[in-house]
Amino acid sequence: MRSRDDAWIALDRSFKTFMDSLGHLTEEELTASDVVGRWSVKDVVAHVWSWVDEAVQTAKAWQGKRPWQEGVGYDDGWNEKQVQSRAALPLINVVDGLTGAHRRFMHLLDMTEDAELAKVGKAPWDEEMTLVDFFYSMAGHYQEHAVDLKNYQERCLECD
Amino acid sequence: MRAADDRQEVSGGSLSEEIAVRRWENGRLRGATTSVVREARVRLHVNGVEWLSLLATPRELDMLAIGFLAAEGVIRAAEDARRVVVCPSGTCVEVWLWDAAATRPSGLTLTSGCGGGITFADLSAEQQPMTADARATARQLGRLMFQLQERERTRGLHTAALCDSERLLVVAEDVGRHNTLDKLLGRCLTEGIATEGRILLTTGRVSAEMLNKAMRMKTPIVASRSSPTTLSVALAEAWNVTLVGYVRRDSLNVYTAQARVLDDAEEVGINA
Repeated sequence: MRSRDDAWIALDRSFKTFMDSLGHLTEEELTASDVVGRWSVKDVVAHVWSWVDEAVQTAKAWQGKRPWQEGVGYDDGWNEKQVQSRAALPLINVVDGLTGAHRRFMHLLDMTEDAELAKVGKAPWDEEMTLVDFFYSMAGHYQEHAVDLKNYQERCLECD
Repeated sequence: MRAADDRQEVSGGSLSEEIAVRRWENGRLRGATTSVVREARVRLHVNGVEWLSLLATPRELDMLAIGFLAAEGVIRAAEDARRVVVCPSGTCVEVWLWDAAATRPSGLTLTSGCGGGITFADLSAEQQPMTADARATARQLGRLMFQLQERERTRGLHTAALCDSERLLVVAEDVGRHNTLDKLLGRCLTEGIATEGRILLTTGRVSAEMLNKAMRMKTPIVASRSSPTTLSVALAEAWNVTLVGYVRRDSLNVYTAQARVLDDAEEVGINA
């Protein structure tokens, strides 16, 4: 089991890496579609935001009932629906939304008792783990998409 | 405890921008450029929660945040902050405290600063009189103020400095005079520079909340190129702070605790 500090540092660093990967892209590049699969960079940010939002709710009810998750597959369909629900928002609001969700998630990690962090529950993707490991796993999600964005960034630089 | 480098992300950015203007001079209008002070509304988030926003020069926002929180009594040392992050746009600074349960103090007051200063401090609360001591001659204060003006890089900004009787030790600039003191305190805490028993110089008016920040820094002499206010004079009297106004190379006014400002002939005994 990871420690609270492991999770905090991993989340903090991977979020920074993710946000830094947006830094060198123009607004046009950030909103161009079909750059990460069918998604734009903005869509990727919206996708990550939806997961952090979901993670906040999940962590709050780690061993309790989570009625909103019943029958939900957390598959490509769910991901697409979440991205579409944020599609009308301007880029700045999407980035702000993710930043706010990240802050809530970090604060929740800070405020959760040690005993709660050690409890085993199920992540939305049905894998059993301790709550602190669930927090840690979201760092991996930031990292995964930071790599996507980094690859796109390099393609953009090659085109320049 | 993590190293300071890991905790801080020092924000740079210039103090001013070059702007194209039409300049009238010697009876003629012509195109020119001039430098204009940068100002932005900066949001301060603590432990993921937005506490307030203030107007500031978007530079050294990490120092501003640390100094502000220390001046308001939320933290006592720079190490109380686990991480300080300045967002790339320079309009937001995040502070993550080791005390995750820290909550925003109640009683937020908008102060009289041109830059929209904010304080949580209850200035009517009883403070113990200043016990730290310092001495300076009037001529030394005049020289220090002259040095401070020499250091002013951009016109239109307030400047503040922590000094001993001979030298400026730390200098801070901002559109808001309160912010200069917070930036000073933030830098001193971060770099382990003692403020107690030093002299505080400012180009701005010394109002009550400025004096309150000086009390936090334990600087027994507060000297301004500008004026004090009636409330700051009353508080300085009660708190045994030497308040000096209208400091020029050849003149100044000492309003309170006057014994700390000496004639040239008198001996200087001040913490170096």
